[in-house]
Amino acid sequence: MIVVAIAGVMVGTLVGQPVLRSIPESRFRRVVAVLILALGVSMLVRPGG
Amino acid sequence: MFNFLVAVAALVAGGIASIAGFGIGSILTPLLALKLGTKLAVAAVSIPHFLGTVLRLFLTRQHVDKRVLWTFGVTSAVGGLAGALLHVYFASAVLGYLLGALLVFAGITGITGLASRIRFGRRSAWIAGAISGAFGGLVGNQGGIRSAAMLAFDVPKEAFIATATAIGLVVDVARMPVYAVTQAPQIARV
Repeated sequence: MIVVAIAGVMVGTLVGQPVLRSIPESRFRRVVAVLILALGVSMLVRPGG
Repeated sequence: MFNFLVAVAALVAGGIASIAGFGIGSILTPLLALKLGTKLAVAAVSIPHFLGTVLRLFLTRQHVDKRVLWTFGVTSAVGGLAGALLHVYFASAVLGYLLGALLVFAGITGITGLASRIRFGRRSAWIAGAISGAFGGLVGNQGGIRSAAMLAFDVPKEAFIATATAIGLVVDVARMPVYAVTQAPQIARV
């Protein structure tokens, strides 16, 4: 299971690099903020926080 | 079937981490906890988290903002480690909900642009790093609150990701030996 996770994370990291480059600088902080908001919501709705 | 789910989640987590500087622990830990329990999941996820962070830092290393790293970053890492050690004694669902609420607030201020009015100077960077790191360590989720705090630094996106990644790597290097000593046999069976 860990090997699978490692492989997935490595591939995802590589795929994410060109995605980061494609995000306009003016939009970047809003993109990060949306992801932070999603994480916050998930922590509030998940049992146990 | 579960391994397929882990693979997809890991792929998404790695991609999100490349864009936001966090995500691997946030996505994989709850998923693996379904099978392993939270304590072992945290330790097990630290391995792909560490390797993904190393790769991300290697890809972005020329963009690390040393000013942010040596102010906010140092206290964030120290605070995170201190919080993680205290987590054993002070773990509480209330802290998790509090962190969730803080992240929601940070997300909303970021989306609305209010966060752009906040800019950290040297002293406030030290303090923000310590508080966000310690709180993240206490709750067991450091990446999100670290990236939330870093929104207040006026750095380009590549520097944002590279610096957040460098800070995260410091924490990984410090916490992984603890897992190795306390849970190596269990991790090896995962």
